[in-house]
Amino acid sequence: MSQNKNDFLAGYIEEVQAYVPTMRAAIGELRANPRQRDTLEELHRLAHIIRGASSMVGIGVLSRIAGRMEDTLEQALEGRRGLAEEALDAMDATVARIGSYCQDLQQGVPVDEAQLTDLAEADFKGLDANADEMSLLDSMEEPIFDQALPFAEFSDSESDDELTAAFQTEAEEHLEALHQAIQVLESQVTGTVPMNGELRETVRQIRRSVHTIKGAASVIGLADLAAYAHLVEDVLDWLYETAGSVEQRAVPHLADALDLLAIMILNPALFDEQRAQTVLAALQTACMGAGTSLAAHEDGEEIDVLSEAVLDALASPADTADMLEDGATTGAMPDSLFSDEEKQLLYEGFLEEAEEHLQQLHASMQILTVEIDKRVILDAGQKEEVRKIRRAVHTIKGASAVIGLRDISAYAHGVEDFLDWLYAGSRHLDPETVEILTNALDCLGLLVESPESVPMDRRTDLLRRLLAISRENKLEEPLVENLPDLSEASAVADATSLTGSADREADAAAPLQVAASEASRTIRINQNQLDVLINLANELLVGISGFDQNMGLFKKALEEMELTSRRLKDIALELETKFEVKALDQLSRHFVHIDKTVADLKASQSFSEFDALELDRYTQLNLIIRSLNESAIDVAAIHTNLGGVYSGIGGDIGRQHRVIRELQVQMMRTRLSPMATLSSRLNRTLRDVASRLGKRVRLVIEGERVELDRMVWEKLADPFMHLVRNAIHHGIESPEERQACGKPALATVTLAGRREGNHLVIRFSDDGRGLDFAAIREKARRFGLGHAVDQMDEEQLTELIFYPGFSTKTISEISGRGVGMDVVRANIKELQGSVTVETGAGAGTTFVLRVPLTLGVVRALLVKVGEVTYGIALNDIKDIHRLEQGSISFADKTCHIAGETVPWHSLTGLLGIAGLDPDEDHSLVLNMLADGRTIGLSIPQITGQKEIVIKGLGTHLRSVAGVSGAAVMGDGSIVPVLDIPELAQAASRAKHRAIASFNLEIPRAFTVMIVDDSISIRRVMSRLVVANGWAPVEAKDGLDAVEQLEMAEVRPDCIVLDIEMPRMNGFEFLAKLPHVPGGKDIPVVMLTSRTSAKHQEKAMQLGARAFLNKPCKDEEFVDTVLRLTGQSDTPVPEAEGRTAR
Amino acid sequence: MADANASHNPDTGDQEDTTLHALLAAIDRETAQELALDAASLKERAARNIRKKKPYIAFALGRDEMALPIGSVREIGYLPPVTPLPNIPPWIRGIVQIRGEILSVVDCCLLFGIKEAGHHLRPSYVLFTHENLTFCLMVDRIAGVVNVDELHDPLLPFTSEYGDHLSGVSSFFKGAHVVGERTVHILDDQKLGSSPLIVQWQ
Repeated sequence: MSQNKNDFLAGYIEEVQAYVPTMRAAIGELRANPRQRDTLEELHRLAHIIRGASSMVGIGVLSRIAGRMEDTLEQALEGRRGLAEEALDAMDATVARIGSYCQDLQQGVPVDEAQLTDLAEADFKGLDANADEMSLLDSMEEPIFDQALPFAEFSDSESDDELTAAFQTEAEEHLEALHQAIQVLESQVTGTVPMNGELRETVRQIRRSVHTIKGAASVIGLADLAAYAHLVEDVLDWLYETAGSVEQRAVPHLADALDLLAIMILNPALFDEQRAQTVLAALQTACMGAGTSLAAHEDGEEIDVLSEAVLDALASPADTADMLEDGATTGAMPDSLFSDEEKQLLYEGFLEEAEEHLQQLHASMQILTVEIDKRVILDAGQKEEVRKIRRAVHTIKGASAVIGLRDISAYAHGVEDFLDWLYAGSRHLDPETVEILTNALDCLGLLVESPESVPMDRRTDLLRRLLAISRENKLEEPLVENLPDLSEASAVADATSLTGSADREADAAAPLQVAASEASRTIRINQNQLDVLINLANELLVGISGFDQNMGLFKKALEEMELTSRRLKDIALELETKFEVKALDQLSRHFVHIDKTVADLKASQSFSEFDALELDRYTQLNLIIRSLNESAIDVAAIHTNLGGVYSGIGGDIGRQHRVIRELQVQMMRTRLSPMATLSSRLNRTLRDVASRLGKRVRLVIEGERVELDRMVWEKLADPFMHLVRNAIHHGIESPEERQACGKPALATVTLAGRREGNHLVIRFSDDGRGLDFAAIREKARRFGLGHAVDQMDEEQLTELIFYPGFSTKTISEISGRGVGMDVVRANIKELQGSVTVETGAGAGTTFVLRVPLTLGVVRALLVKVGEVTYGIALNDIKDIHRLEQGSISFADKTCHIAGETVPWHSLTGLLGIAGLDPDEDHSLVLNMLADGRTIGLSIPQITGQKEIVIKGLGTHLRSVAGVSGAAVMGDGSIVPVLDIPELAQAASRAKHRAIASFNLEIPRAFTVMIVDDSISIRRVMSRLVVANGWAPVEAKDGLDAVEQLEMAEVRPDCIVLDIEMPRMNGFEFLAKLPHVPGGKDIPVVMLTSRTSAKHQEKAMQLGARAFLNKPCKDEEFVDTVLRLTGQSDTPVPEAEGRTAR
Repeated sequence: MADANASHNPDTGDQEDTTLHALLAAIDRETAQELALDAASLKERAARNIRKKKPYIAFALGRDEMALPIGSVREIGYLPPVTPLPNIPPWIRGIVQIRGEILSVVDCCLLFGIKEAGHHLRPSYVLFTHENLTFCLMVDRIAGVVNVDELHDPLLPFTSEYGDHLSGVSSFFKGAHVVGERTVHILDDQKLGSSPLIVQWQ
């Protein structure tokens, strides 16, 4: 036992000694950095281990010492303070004592335990005494990790700790960067230094950091901080963009300002506004006073200067180039760096980005337009909108400068200057200003989209007006203080807690936060990449449909197996009941007893006194019957198992189907964007056109959130533009005319998007005068339609407006070339959508565009015509009817569906397949839309509906009239997808030219039926038939063959017949064959092992045409078949038949 | 060689080394001319083999044999079931799916106006590609590869003795290659690929 104790004593001491150096190192580290929490924790853990382990092995003294140490550490940890120098000394000593104690113990040197404890006690007692002092000392400098709490209390209650903490971390990084940058500045700026590239870069870094802090602060709702940072940023902006030189005295001021910023971030409580203002004022004087000769003490003045500069620059593009070239040294990259291709890419990226910003501009302007109906003082929400606008303009400016679009960046710069003033300098906003701003921003949008379209003077003019506004207002509002914004911001902040405007602020903040968080989780992916992924998802969906088919086969096989197993069971039962009992009685005499073992034999002999009925005795037959029984049961069990597997796989496939469908849906969603992406462009076009035509129109967009594939919106953009132009030009009357009709002078164009099932339905309506049918008719007459026009109803006349080159207006800049509606239809059609028109005289016109929600995958109705399955997109089909006899009038090609008489076509007719006229009774008719009107289409047979991916028809056949593409099914077969309207047109054209009948019938494969009861013979013959390029059909006996023939499923060109078969033998079949419909003409070749002349004669007598003996030579067989079917006159097939093997 | 020797035998003196060099150089000089001649003749022979023998894929259309340059044929095989389409001329049989790609099928017999062969055969296809145009030529049978040495054995121009039924094809012909009894009509892939008849459907 004592040996035992010594053992783990030794182990324990070794362990403790291993800890000692670690503890020493930790204490050393703590000396350098007393607040290092994880080191503290580590030390605490080690002390705790030593204490616990010591008491376990019974070394009380170590346990006590370590315990003391642990207590101190615990206090330090709980109090979240560092360890004082003394405490560390004490611990160092303690650790040393622990070390030496262990060593002594190991060497067997006796130790004065009491003294050791006392020493340790004394050390730590001294510590406890000045513990209070120490904690006091610590609280002087707030430890960083404690700051989250007071800060969170200070800031808005809605911004939670997490956000603040994240902000702090981020801000600290930036502060660090700022600190370094200031140091660089201090070292570089001695005396007045001209602004060179390096210096500018430093300033840019500072500005960026301040900017980021500002943005982050405003996101988490630290209004004060954001406002202050903004002012600092303004100065930095100036320094970066305009200042020609930097003075030495400006640097300390800048450093002060940034220090203040740091204080605000780390300890907002310490921040005093007074000081902030002084510092900023000093900074502004120091920097700008020196930099501009205009001695601008006011922000507004400075902006003026900038704007003038921009105007000048605009007037002389060469200067602009120079100016931006200067700027390019740091921000923009020189042109020569990029190849044309890269520039193109950059430009595309820019357009994409700019589009987003233009949407933002549009949304914000919308809000401002609505809210500002008279001259008002800007409230916080509106200011926020102005800020958003400014940010968007700023980003466009920056991006365009980088890729070298100088026109845009110069113009954007001018607009931004005005916005700067609006945001920082102005307190009022009136509708006129908003309107001019709207125009200016529209102009920016146009500039981005097509730079050539905006004349230079328009831009200059707009900028002049903006500048004029900012000047005018400044006179009225002399700026009393240097920091209007800061005080205002804080005033607003005060107000928010009291008044109802708090809600609005919260509202404004919420989306901002959402936007910020969304932006951070966004990844930009190349659209092609996405398309590839979506295509793969589509292929998966189609691929899994392929399983369905195999599952069908599986099921069929299972059913067959069930029948077989039941038959097997029946046979076994029959055997058992009919023969086994008898066998016991009679057959036992004929069969040898089974003597498995001698014992059995003996037993059977010894049981001889029993009667056969009294004791079962087993013969071989009995056993065979038994095992047959067992096998039957086994087969049934296997069948049941397979059934289980079948439903398992079925379930798996079903799940997979759902998942893939979901995947596809989600993949599609990645490309979705809301209708709002178009609204800014539409609005611009509308205002532009309306002002040019002197009409007053407003655009109402409903369902802006409706989402569609980005590509679809792109495709729809053009049609929308055309529709807007058309509506204003053709539809909407002049204001006077409208008033005369009693309509409001302000016309309304409505764009309403709505989901309807699998479609997006966009109703584009105006409240104008409606379609002018008289004009259309007149025009159509001159267009070359002649008197046919008089018979046309309104529906058909409406159709004419989609005709290429058709317009009732004379050509003008806006519309009338007759291209627009043609494009509308073409684009919508490309999207597999449709356009219909609803119009009422004087009430306006509505264009209803229907676009499928999903692209790529189309649900199609599968229609079988003859041997070929065709697909018809379900979108086109309104409903399906089964018509009664007499509903179709063949004479005038109409049919009567659901109370309507509509033009009628037959699919077989359209496809030009002769001899397959629809069954007149119970004909299936699809009611579908074609060119804006309903037509009826008779189809022979529906085989199902499926999701298909439409592909092109290959590189050779680009466009085939009436076929929009083809889909590959799961089993590899091809389904052509029909475009019924086009097909109908093509058919009517073809009729005019008296061309009809295409070779649409698949040449039926040459079929050979093999009737034989031996499965291997059937297989061998099938192989031979296939090798010759023919199609085999198998029948397992005469009856089966007759059944197949009667079902009319197959019509073989030749039958190969065996003689001896169960159920119906060859002779019986031969006798029966002439009575089967069409069976008379099928030549029969006998293939049998019965070679006698008697059999042969009998067969020939019954109508067989040839007699072959098993086994027959392949050539002999092929030759015979060819001879019998009259194919032997072509020599090539024979050669082929041989070579194919 | 000399260097290698020298490095292998460091004991060898400088003098011996130089004599060896001189000797080798002398031998080289003497043989250089002969070697150059040899190389030239070898090259020439190789070039003759490569340049002059052009491989063609030959196929049977009815009783005639035609061939296309191997460069214009992407693959060959048995033709899968053809799906017919409406509104296309009879000589375009329809479309097939080969390895997931949809391709149109041109029936050579109908296009060339050759009488149609037995329909119960399993036809083969030649996947013809020219620039960015690809389609299947439906043929009766692939006959293999024919190597034609045009310089040595020039192609014969088309004459009516090959049969009147081929007059429709003659515009696509480059010439006929005759080996004993066998006549292979070599088709011009350029003419076929850019024929307005074919291209109009693009």
